[in-house]
Amino acid sequence: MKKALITLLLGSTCTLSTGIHASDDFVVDNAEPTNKRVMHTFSMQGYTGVFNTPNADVIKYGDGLFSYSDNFYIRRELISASDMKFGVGLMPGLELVGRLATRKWHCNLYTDTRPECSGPRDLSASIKYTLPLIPEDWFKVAIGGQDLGGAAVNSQAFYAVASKDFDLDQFGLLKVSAGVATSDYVSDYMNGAIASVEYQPFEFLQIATEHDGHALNAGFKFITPEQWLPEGWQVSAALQLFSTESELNEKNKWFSLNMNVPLSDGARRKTSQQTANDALNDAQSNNSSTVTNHGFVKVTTPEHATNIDDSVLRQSTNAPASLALSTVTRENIDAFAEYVTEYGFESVSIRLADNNAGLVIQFENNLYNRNEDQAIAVMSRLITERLHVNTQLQLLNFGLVVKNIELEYAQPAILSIDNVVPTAPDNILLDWLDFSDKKWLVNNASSAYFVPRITVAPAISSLVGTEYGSFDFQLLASLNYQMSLWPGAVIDVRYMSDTLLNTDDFEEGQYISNRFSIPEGVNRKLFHQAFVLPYNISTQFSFGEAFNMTDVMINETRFQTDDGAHRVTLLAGELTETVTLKRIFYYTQVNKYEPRLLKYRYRFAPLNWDIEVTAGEFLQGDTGFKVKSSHWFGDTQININYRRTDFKEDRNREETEFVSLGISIPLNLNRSMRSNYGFQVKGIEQWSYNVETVLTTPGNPNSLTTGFGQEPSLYHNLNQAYYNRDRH
Amino acid sequence: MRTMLKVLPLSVIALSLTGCFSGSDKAEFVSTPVIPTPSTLAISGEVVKGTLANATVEAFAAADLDFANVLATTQTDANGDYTLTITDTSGAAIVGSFFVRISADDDTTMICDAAACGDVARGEAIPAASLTGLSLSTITNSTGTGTIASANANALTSLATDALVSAARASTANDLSNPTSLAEAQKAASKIVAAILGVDAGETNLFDVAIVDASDSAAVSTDALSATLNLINASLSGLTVADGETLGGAIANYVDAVDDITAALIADPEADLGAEQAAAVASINTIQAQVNTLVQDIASEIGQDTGTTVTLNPIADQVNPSDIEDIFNGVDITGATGGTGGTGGTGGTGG
Repeated sequence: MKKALITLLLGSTCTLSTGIHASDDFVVDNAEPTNKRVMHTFSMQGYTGVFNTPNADVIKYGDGLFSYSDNFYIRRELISASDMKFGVGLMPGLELVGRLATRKWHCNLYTDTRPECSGPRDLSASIKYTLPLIPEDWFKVAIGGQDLGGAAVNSQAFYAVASKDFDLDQFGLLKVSAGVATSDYVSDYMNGAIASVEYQPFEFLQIATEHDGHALNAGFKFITPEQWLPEGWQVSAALQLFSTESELNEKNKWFSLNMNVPLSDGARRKTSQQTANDALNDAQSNNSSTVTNHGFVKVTTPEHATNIDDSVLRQSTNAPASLALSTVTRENIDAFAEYVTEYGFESVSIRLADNNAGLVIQFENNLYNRNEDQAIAVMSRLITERLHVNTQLQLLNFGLVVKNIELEYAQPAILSIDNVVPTAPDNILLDWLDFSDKKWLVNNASSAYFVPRITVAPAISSLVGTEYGSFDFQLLASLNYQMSLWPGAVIDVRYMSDTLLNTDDFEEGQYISNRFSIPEGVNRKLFHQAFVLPYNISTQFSFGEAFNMTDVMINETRFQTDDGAHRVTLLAGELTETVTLKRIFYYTQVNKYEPRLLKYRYRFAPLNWDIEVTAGEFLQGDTGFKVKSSHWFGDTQININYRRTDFKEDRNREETEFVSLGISIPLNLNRSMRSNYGFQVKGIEQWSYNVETVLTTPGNPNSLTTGFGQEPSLYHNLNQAYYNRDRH
Repeated sequence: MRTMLKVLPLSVIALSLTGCFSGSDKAEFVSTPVIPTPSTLAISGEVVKGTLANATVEAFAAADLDFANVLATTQTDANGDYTLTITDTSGAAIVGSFFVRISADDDTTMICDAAACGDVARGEAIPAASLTGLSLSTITNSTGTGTIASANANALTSLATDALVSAARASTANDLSNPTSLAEAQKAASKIVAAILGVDAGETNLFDVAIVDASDSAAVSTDALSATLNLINASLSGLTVADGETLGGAIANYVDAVDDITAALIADPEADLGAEQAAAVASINTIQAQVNTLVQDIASEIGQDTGTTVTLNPIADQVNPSDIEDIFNGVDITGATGGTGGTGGTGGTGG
C-alpha cells in the first residue's frame, strides 16, 4: 500500500512535469474555482486538511503558510508539543511543508534528564499533490506523504484522499472527504480508511468532524473574513474539542493557528522587454490625446501604472517643465540626463544611434534593487514622457551593458541635433579605457564609479531541531562594502559584526558556538573583474580572500541562450585554506583546493521555475552532484536542494546525501537611497536562508555535517551582480 | 539590547567627560613627572643534570622563541642553584611566562650522577671541557607576585621545553603566556617526551617532578615513576661519547633528535615519523638502548648504597614511531558528536 502510494505520488509529479514540457502554451490556472467551496485550512499535521486527517485541497499556488499546533502525534498517541509547519504552494496542486516539532524548546536532550526533555524533537518534510485533469465540479483527489524519510521517522504516513464540495445555498457549504492511509503509527491512526465532513455555515466558521482511522474527532475552525486582512491573506484557528480516544491521547482538546500569506499571484514573469513595453504603453495611453498628434508629450499621472513606485509619478508631475516636444534638441537631452541623474540613476550616457534615427541611452541602476526590471520600467516611462524618441535602452551593471531594450514609438519625436560635440567622461581613467569612437552627447553623468556602497544585512548561523535545542542561532550584522572602479571591476569587502543576539548554545566556549559561530571581523576581501563577451557569454575573475581562505582565485563563466531558457556556467577556482586544528597541541594545516564545477540551468517560464544541476569537484575536494529547484514568487525564491558528494580520499567522509529547503528574499527598500551624497547605504538584494539535513536511513543518525558540496560561489556572482538574480 | 548596553557606558563616559570641563574655564593642569619604582621578578631554581655548577643562566620572554633577547642573566652556584632578577623600569608588575636557559661555559662543572661518566666516577665533577655544548632549559610563569621559586631545569624539562617552543611556533593558539594554558601545554609536552623516552608517565607534568642529583643515593625517590624519571635524567651523563665529541655535545645531539621528532609531529600530526624522521628515530633508538642499561646500572648502585632495591617503571628498549604518533592521534579534543537536525544558512549567500 505504502509503496503503491509513493509510486503514485512520484508518477503523478512526473506526469505534471511531462505535461508541462510537452506544451509551450502552458497556462497557470491559479484562480479559485468559480463554484463556492469550503475554505481550505491547514490541519494539525503536515498537510492541508481537517484536524488530523487530510482532505484533497492543498496550499494555493504561490501562497506561503505558517502553522502552529500544540500537539504532535508520535507512535500511538497525541502528546503536548510545539509543532510548527512552514509550507508553500510550490506549483499548482502541489504543497510542500517543512515541519519542526518539539516537546520543549530549550531542553538539551543529551544532558537534561527531566521527563519533559525526553523528546521528541523532529525535523521533517511533507508533500501533497492534487491530481490534475479531474473536472473540479466532480471531485478532487490528492495523494501525499508526511515525514518523508530521514533518520528519526516519528510521523510518517502516506495517503490518498478524495473530496467533494457541496453548495447548500443559504445553509452554507459542505465538504466530504474519504480516503485510505498507511503509516507506521502503532495505533490505527492514519491506517486504513479515513473520512471527514467539513461544514461551513458562515464565512468565518467551520464545523468539522473526522475519523482518523483510529478515533472520531470533532471541533470548530474560525477563519478571518476576507476584508479583515490584506488581499489573499488568511488567518484561521482550529479547536478540536472532542475525540473518542481518551486513553492514549494526552488531551482531547487541541489547538492550532494558521496563517496564509500570498507570495505572488503565480503569474508568469514578464521579460524585461515586455516590462518596458508595458511601461511605454502605460505612459502613452495616459497621454494618448497628445501622443497621437505629433509626438507631443505631456506628463500626467497614470491611474493604473504598474511596477513603478509613486515617487516617480510624483516627480514626473512636479517636473519643472512639462515637455511638449515635437523635436528633441541637445538641450532636451541634457535636461533629460540631468533629470534622471537627479532622480537617482547613475552613469547615464546618451548618444545618437548608429543610424542617427534614435538614441542610445545607457544607465546604471542602483536604485531599484529588488528587481531591476522596475528600473527599466521607470526609465522607459521617463523616456516616453520626456523624449519620446526611438531608443535603445541599455542597462549597465558595474559599468557593463547587461540588457538591451528597444523603445519604439509609432510617432516618435524628431531628433534635431546638429554638430555633435562629444563629451568625455569626467574620469580620466574611463577616458583612457574608452577605445570606441562613439560620440557621446552625455557621457557617464553621475558616475557610478568610485562611489562607496555599503550593503547591510542580517547574518544568521543557526541549528534547527538538534538535541541541543529546537532553534539555536547567532545573529550578526553583515556590512558589505563595494566600490566599482571601472567597467566590471569591483572592490568587495565584508565585515561581520560582533554577535547581536544569540541563544545559550552560541555562548562563547559552547560546543555549538565553537563549531558553528561566525567570528567578528572582515571575512571577505575580494577584487572582481568581469567581462561581457559576445554570444551571451560573461565571465568574472575574483581574487583575494573569502570562505576563510586566502589566495582565492575564482572564475565564473556563463553562457545563456537568448530566451534565457538555458544557462551553462563553469565555476572554477584555486584557494588556499590555513586552519588551526588541535590534536595534542594546536597546529596549522594548509589545504589547497581546486574546485571545478559545471552547471546547467533550465527555466520553465510558465511556472517561473528554474532547475539547476551542478556536478564536478566541489570546494573542499569532494565530488558529486547537486540538483536545485528554484521557484520564483515575485521577488521571493523558494529553493529545494538535493546533493550527494563523496570525499573519495577520506574514509571518514563517505558519500553523503543532503536535502535542504531555503528561501531567498530581498531585504531592502523598494527604492534604495540615492548616492548623491557620494555614497550609498542599502539593504541586501538577495538574503538567503536555508535549513539543511543529512539524508540517512531510519536508525542512522543524521549528525550535523559540514564541508560537503560547498560551492565557491560568491555573493557578487554574475547572476546576482549583473543579471538581476538570474532573471535577465 | 546587548548593543544598547555596550553603547550606554560609552555615552555615560562621554557625558562625564563633558561634565569635567563644564564650569572650569580657568582650570590649569600642571604635570609633575613621576618616576616609577622599577618592578622586579626574581626567578630561582635548581639545575640538575648532574648538579651543574657555575653555568650561565639566562631568562627570555616566552614570546622570544629564538632566545634572542636576554632579559636577565646569572650563574649557578656550586649546588646548581640560581636566582636571577628581571627588572621592569615602568614599575608594572611583571607577569607572563619566561624561558630559562642554562648553558655550560668555561668554568662549568657537572657532578657525574650516572654509574660512571667516561673516566669520571659517580659523584665526581665532570670538567668544563667535557660539557661544551650542554644546554638545559625550562619554562616558568609569573602571576605578578615578584618571585618564582621553582624554575628547576634538567634534561626532562629541556626536552619538554623544546616541545613547547615547537608548539608555539606551530600555532599562536598554543598560548604559553598564561598559567592555565601553560600548565596544559606542559602536560601535553610531557606526554610526548615520556613517549619518546619509552616511559608511561600518565598525566605527569615533567616540570613538576622533583629531579635530584642521583649521585646522592638517599635523595632519589622511592616512587617508581619518580625514580625512573630521575634515573633517566641521570643516565644521560653516562652516554658513550664518540671520538672528538664531548659529553655535552652527545647530550645536545640527543636533545636535538628528540626535538626534531616533536617538532615534526606538532607541525603535522599526520606525519609519518618512520619515513620523514628516520635519522632522528635511529639516533634516539641508539641512545634509548644505552639509557635503559644505564638506568639499571644506576639503580643497582643506589640499591647497594641504600640497601633497598630501586623499583622502576618499564622503559622501552626501542621507541616505535607509531607509538609516538598515537600520542597525537589518540587525543582529539574535537571529537564530540553533534546533534541531529539541520544547519541554518548564513544570510547573504556565498563567501
